[in-house]
Parts: sequence; structure tokens; C-alpha cells
Amino acid sequence: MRTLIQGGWVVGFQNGHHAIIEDGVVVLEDDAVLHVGPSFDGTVDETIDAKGKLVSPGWINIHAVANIDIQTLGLDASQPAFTSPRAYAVDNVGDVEFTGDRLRTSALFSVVELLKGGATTIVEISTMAPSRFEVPRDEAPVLAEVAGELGARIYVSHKFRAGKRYMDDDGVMKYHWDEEAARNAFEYAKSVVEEYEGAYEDRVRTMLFPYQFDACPAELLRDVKIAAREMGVPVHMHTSQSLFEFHDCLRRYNKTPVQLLDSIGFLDERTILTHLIYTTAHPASGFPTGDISDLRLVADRGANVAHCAVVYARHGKILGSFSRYREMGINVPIGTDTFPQDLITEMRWAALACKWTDRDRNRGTAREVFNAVTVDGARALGRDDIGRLAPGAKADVVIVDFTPLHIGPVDDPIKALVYTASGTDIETVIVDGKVVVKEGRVPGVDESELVRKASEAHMWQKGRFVGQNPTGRPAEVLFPSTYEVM
Amino acid sequence: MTKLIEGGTVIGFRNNQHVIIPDGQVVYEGNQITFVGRGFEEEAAERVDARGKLVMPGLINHHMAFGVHMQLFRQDAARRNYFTSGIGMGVRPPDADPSVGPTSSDWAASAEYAMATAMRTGSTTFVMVPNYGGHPYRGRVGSDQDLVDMVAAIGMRGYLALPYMSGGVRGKPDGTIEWVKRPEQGWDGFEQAVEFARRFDGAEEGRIRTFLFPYQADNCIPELLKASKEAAAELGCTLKIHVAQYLLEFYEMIGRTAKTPMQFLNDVGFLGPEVSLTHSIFTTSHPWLPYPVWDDTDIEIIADSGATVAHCPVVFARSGVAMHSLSRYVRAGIPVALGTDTTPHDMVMEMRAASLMSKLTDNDSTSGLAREVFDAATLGGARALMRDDIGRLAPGAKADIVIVDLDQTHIGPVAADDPIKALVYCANGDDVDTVIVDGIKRVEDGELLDFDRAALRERAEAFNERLRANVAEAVYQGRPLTEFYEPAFPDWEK
Repeated sequence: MRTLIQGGWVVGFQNGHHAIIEDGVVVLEDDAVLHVGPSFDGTVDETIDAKGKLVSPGWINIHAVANIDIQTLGLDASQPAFTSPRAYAVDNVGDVEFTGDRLRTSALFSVVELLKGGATTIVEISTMAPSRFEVPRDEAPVLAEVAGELGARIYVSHKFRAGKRYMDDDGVMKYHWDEEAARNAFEYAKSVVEEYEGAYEDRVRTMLFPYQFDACPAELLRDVKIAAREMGVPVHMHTSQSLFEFHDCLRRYNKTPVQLLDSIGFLDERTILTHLIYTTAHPASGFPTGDISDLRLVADRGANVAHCAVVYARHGKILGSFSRYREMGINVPIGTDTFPQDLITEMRWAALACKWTDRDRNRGTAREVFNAVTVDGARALGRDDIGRLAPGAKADVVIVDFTPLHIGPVDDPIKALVYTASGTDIETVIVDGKVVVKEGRVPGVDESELVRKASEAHMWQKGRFVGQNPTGRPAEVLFPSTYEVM
Repeated sequence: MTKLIEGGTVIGFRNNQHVIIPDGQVVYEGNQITFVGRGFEEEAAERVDARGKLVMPGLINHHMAFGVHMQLFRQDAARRNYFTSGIGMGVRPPDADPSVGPTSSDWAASAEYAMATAMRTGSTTFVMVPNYGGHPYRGRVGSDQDLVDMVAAIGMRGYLALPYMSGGVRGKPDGTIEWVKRPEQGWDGFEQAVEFARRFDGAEEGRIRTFLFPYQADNCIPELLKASKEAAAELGCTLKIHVAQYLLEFYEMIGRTAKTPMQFLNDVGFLGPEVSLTHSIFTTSHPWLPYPVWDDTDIEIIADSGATVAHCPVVFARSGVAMHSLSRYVRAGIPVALGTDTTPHDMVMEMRAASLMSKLTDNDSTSGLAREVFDAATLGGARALMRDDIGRLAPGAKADIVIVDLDQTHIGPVAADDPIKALVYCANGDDVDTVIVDGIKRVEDGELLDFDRAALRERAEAFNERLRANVAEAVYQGRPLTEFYEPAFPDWEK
């Protein structure tokens, strides 16, 4: 089966980088790219007309929330009302996580939304806050199944940790530790790798995901990395997300998080550190100005930093900076990490926030952020068959409609994409040669019904958070509404 | 004829603020809203089912660049010296022939493109801000009447002005910059502007309004500012000016007057509730300036005067520049309005940028609230125009209504929790479904009615081509612009 896509602007891959072919073509044969160039002389079975549109390699969402995102409840609020009470964290009383039908709704909704947001490769992360020491054990299998059937390319994992934060009766934040629980969950996580790696025509892959650096003992992390090397899968972990975590690590180990991870052999090309905001180089870290030793270490080891600008900007925080990390030789792929999971908006904010941070309009460029969601994402996953349109690469394609008014006259298609478009302009998404988003919709899915069910699940979870909040504050205080509701 | 919009989440207006009315009703007759709330049971000639949708006041685009903006082209690849400081212009030699380049019909296409995009994405009112470099603006799109007719044909509520100033900033080929003084040009432009304002205010059943626009604080002599202020009082119109937009301007004014740009305007007697101060970024509170961190003198001056700050975060974020900050200004008592000073003219995108940049600059998740940016896009814009009949859905207000489709996978669950947060943090201008201006439906199902979108797009592309060619010729001696402004990726090698 051969499909020819007649662009608009085709983003081909030539001489080791992307290159623009105006009115170019891409020819897909089964699950791979056959040809990219100004024209094609051979025969084809089907043609997709993408004139006036951007034909891009599929995008890699390196940190994609794969459940209905509770974080949005905390928008505009200073103290997200997601604190667990002692009874919940220590005694397992209460339940705020999705199970059964809600879990399935959550998985389906997330994968649909991710595909529509341009992710042909989804590196999933589920929000751990509502769960105990690990996410529900059927979460990764459900995601693998839903994504597999919808035709997505996904990396699934079972997340685990040894520590859970809660608020005691005096309002003091504490960790409840259970290393045995973490070890059991780690064993299960390995079985998920064994069972799902390569499933669904190899569209489903796996990784190991100790959830948070500060919630995992160093010995556990060392063993996780050894296991990942043996199993040949990447490791993904939240690291240096908050100043508290940074200083807690200094206190406990007399090392920064990066130094500690390096000392246990955790850092290499197959490690993805998500966020990594706070290092010796951060102005609020307390380290001397100009101390970039942590960043050097990350660059030398080849570890990847997953960057999620929007979710941090919503808190008034940002990496310092996307371009600076890259210039130091660190690979910095991009992920959404919050709702909505629109990779175009995410690229835009990675660019804008970087310019502001660096006081430099020539940093945080469209080129850098586009590379981040394509070739750099692929590199973080150890792959050279995705994130590019070149013969032999996977047939993963995103087509963006450039005809709406807000796109305007196009001088440079990549700048137009990054600075003027949004996820709603994504018209077609192809994964492994199959169309998974057509005319902006996922075929076979009743999206209105899905939105209704997802909204119900979201509001159910909000109710559970309010009911269990240890402060006893009502919903309108914990999650204030923008305006009074009549 | 009574028209009823029902079933949607309505943003109503009670006790001087917006309220959320789930499953609410909006009724309008002619160009006026007659009912907002629940329980309307009378007959209606037309009923619109807005279930799953947000029904909100039309957005007020208080500083709309009147055309396709060249910024995107220079994006990521600009000269550092003054572009980084916020100003964005080509270095045009003084002897360049102004008659070469886009024709008046090209400029008209560019302006129509801006208006059509703004209306399509939820703006019902705009304040016109032409890109103006010291030559007379009059005649750019044809005669004065042509300009008004063009706006009338689009159907938006438009605030129009012929800008003027007593000189201009000129970049020279060696990279230096000078402020050229041409006071007579300022007076001449002023006279034309007053005549224009008097002639067209209230045209098209009041949809066309006028204002006076001495263009830039650093390029207007004090006498011209004073005369503008007096003329505005006589005409009963508002005033707009660019001020404190970039660092070089700031230091030029310090050097010239020993005052900050804001203090200069204040001492001239220009400030007041009828004045809109565009950008107002480099005030004493800005961290790039050498004032103590607690020095809010300029912010206090603005707040005391009652003037509005017109805030356009997107165009500056692209340069790495931000106002410090929307919330700080709002909470100091300054009315803030929003505008799209660049392509795309999408107020939803602008609201999100206003929110996120305020949070970033304040290092605070409770800065740049959805409430604050939505207020700015509605009530703030109305306040700047001295009106209480737009920017809100209330009986007696104009029937300027926008309906946004919330029933979508990138919005739905957040909308179930809070429709305004969903709008600001999740939606795009593209999600606007219906736009009604002055009781007339202009956008339905996301398409402009009776409008040839493809033809406009072609005309705008042609304008862009000619403008680029003209800039290459006039500014860069005919060398290709890509030599100066590197594209994101190179062309494919054949």
C-alpha cells in the first residue's frame, strides 16, 4: 500500500537535519517512509492532498499526561488542594484514583487528546498524586491496550515510589515511607516491560519509571537503572522539580540531585530526567553564580532533560533555560505534562519562555523547539527511525492546516507553526502508516460522549479531593471559581 | 425582533462584575441586550441552542495592529541592538522612495485580513493601530471614506484614527539611531486627525467611533500633546499613545527631559481617564531599569491619573520582553486592556499570554489570574473607551456576543470545572463558533458569513510578497531577506 502526500510545505530530512520542500511530496509504503522530495514518479494507491498545509514528521511527546489531568483544578491557586491526609497516606483509607470504567475513560480520553495534539509517539506519565505508592496495576495495561487499538505509538510504564507525602494533624508535610511496597511495585514494573515491550506491531514499548527522585531511596534507583540496562529500556524520572527537593537532597546526601544520581551510575543516554529545573546553575539554588557543574555532568553523561514549559509557566516557574541547556550539549526534548496536550502550544511556550528567561529574542527559536519534538525526542528514546521524514523511517506524519486566517501569509512554515498555529489546526495524524486523526477527529470515537464521560470523571475526582482534604476547607476555598456562579 | 440564546454557560454581569450562569439565557432585540439570566419565557423569533458552549461578551481588542505584521519574518533572527530592547523596525534609508512597494489596495487587504482574523477569533470591537513610520498615514488604504467603508464592510465595532507625530525614530545603515524632529508634520497630521475624528465619529449607526492618536510619547513635542488633549476634550473622544515601549526610548527621554517617559507625559498634563497608554513596560518597576525594587512611582502616576494601560504581551514575549506585571498593575488600581499588536489577531491567545507572562514575571501562580485577563479583554477595554455598554452581557448593553464551543477534547473537562479557566488556559481563537456584533451575526459555525476567505488570503499573500520585496529593495539594497533573517530550516537541496 503506497500513499502519496502532496504538500504544501514538506519538512524533509536531509544531511542530518530538517529541510523545507515547498510543494514537496512524501510517499509512505505500509508502515515506513518510502520517498521524500520535490516529486515522485512511481505509482501510488492513494493520494492525500495537503496543498496549503504543513506536512511534518510526527511529533514525540516526551512527557505526556495519560490520565484526566487533576493539575488543572489548581490553576490560579497558590496551594494546590491536593494534599493527602495522614489516614489516607499511611492507613490507605479513602480513594481518589480512577478504577474500572473511569480508568478506561481516562485512558481513552487521554490518548485521543494526545493524538489530536500531534503526538505520534506518546511517552506516558500518569499523575501519581491520587494514588498510593504505585499507580493502579491495571493502568499501564489499559493504556497499552487503548493506545494499541487506536493505533498510537506509546511508551508505557508502571510507576512506583517508596515515599508518599501527607499532612499530619499539625499541618506539617511528612513522607510516609514503605520501601517494601516500592520493591514489590518495581518487580511488577519489570513484568510490565516483559509483557508489553514490542506489543501491537511494536508500536507499544516500555520503560522503567521510578516516579520521583525525592520519593525513591538511592539503592532503589541504582537497582532500577541496572535493571533498565539489562532489559534495554529507558528510565524516566521526575528530578529537581522543586527547591524543597533540591535542598532536602543536599541535607540527606550532601550532594545535589544531579551529583547523587551520577554517583550511583544513574545518568546515561537512556535516562530522561523530567524538569530538572533546580541545579547548581539555578539562581535560587544558593550556589555561586556561574556554577554550571551540574549541567556539565548531565551533558557529559548524555542524559536527557524533558522540558514542559506550559505546566511550569502556569506556576510562574521556568527552566533557565531551554537554549542554555541545549548549548551545553544536553538533549532537551519537549512534553506537555498537563492538559491540554497540544504540542504546538507547548513548542510556542518553550520558545517564548526561553526568550524571556534569556532576555534574547534569538534564543528559544522555532528551529530548536521543532527539533525538540522531533529528532531530539527520538534521540532520548534511542531511536533514529522516528521524528524525521526520510526513506526507511516510520510512517509517522502530522499534517497541519495552514489555510485558517490566524496562520496568515506564511514566510517561514516552521515559524508560522510555532508562533501562530495551535493544536486545533492539526488536520491529519498518521502513525505507522495508518490515519489515526482525520479532519481533526479520531475516527470511530464519539468525542462528545467521551468529553461528557471525562468531565464526569474529572468532577468526581475533584469531589474526592475536597472530601479528603485534611484542612477541611470547602470546595470554593480549595478550588476557587473565576467568577461567582449563579 | 426578539432573539434568544439558551442552554449555554452564560457570562453575565451583576454588581459590576462578571458572573457565571450555567444553563443561562441571553435575549437581544436589534442591537441591544434585553435579558440575561434564567427564566425568560416569552416568545422569541429566533432561538439558538448553545448547549455545550460558552456565551460571553464580545472581546475588545484595544490595540490591534491594523494589518499583517512583519514580525514573524524577523522572528528568532533579529539584530540585537535595538530589536532586543523592544523596538522592531527595518533600517529604512531617508531617501527611500515611499511610493515603491505595496499599493493602497495591498494595504487594504492587509488591514482587512487583520480585522477578519480578529473577528473570527472573538473580537467584536477593535482599536486601530496602523504601522506608521512618520510619513502621513492618510491615504494608505485609499481615501478617508474608503477606510471607513472597508471597516463598515467587515462589520466590527471599530475605533479609527489617523496617527500623527512630530518626527520619528530613524535607524541608520551604520546601526546608530536618531530621533528626527519634524514638528510641522506633527501639526499637519494633527489637523487631519481632528478633521477625520469629527467627520466620522458615530458613522455606521455608531459602530464607527474615532479617537486621537499622537503616536509615540518620544516623538511628540509637549505642545502637540497638550493640543491633542484639548482637542479630545472638545470632541469628546479618547486618546491613545505608545509610551515606555523600549529601553532606548526610556533613556532618550531621561536624557532629553530628566524624566521617565511616564513622568514626562504626566508633567505635560497629558494623562487622564480618557488616555490609553500602550505598552507602558519600562516603568520604574521594571527590573531592567536601575531603580530600587520597591520604586513604583510610575505605576502610581498611572493609577492616580485613571489612564488605562494597553497591554500586548504576545508581541513582546517574542522579543523576550515583558511588562512587570499585569497583576501588579491591576492590583495597583490601573485599568488594563488587552490588544493584539501582531499576527495572529487572536485575543484568546493574547489572554493566555497575558496570564502566563504575568505569572512568570511575578514568579507566582496566583498572578495573571484567568479572571484578571478576561476582565482586561472585556471590561478593561470598555473602560479604556469610556463605555459601559460593551464588554459585558447585561440588559441595555450592545448585542456584542461571542459563543465558544467547549465541547471538545482539548477543553471539555476543564470547562466542566470552570469555563473561564478553560477559555484562558485551554481554548484557541479557532474554537469561537459564533460572533454577533451590534445584533448582527458575522460568524457562524466558525466561518465568516458572506465572506470570501480564500480571496482575502490571496490578497494578503500578495501584499506580503510586495512588502517583502519593498523592504529588501529599500532597506537591504535588493539582497534577499533570508540573508539577514535566517529561516528555521534551510531549503531542500535538489
